[in-house]
Amino acid sequence: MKNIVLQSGNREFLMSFAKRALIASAIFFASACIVIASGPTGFPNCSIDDNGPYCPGAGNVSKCTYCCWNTGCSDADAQACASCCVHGC
Amino acid sequence: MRPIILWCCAGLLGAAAGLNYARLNHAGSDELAGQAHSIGFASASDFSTVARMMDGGKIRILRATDLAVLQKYADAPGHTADFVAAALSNIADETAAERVVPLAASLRKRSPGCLIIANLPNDWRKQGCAKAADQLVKLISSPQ
Repeated sequence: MKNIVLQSGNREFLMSFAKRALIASAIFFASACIVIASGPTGFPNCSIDDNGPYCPGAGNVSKCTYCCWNTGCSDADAQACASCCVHGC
Repeated sequence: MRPIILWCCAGLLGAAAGLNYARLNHAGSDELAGQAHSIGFASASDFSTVARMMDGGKIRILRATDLAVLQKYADAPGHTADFVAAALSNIADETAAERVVPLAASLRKRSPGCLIIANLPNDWRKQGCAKAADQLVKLISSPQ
């Protein structure tokens, strides 16, 4: 088996690249957390995440409607949410 | 000897991939059945029929099998009614819409708070089913 030895220039380049990637991913996750933590906008009485993959605006009517009825909404909010899935908000 | 070993390995890999696929497929159908029951559908196939009608865009030909599934849920409670109403709102053919007027009226009477059903006449008018929309409005407003 051959040993692969990184030259010091390559190693520095890789380290700086890894650091930048780490910082970029930390910023990405932090912003994602802020968006999720900012919570639902249209349906205050339930835990619908407007940014969820199947919630209003995502375009998949059946999954969106399923989401509306399975996130602890009151009946009225679930009805309003389901209507959003079909007609837009 | 070597080709035999290679064929054996390929066979084993193929079998493993097949088993994995079957396992994943089974998990998916279990999930669908769970969703169907939580919404109030009797079976996963009923739910997938209604979901297909909801997601598939404008419906110009209403198949008898699809209509039968929808009619099964004419007296469905609010959460199931939303799904059926969303499927009905995609109908864009006058004849098909006229066939489901009684079903839509029944849903409306059973779930008066359902906004999708309330908006159904407008949806149908926009999609060229004005006669069916008028029939529905008349049926809803007539006293029982």
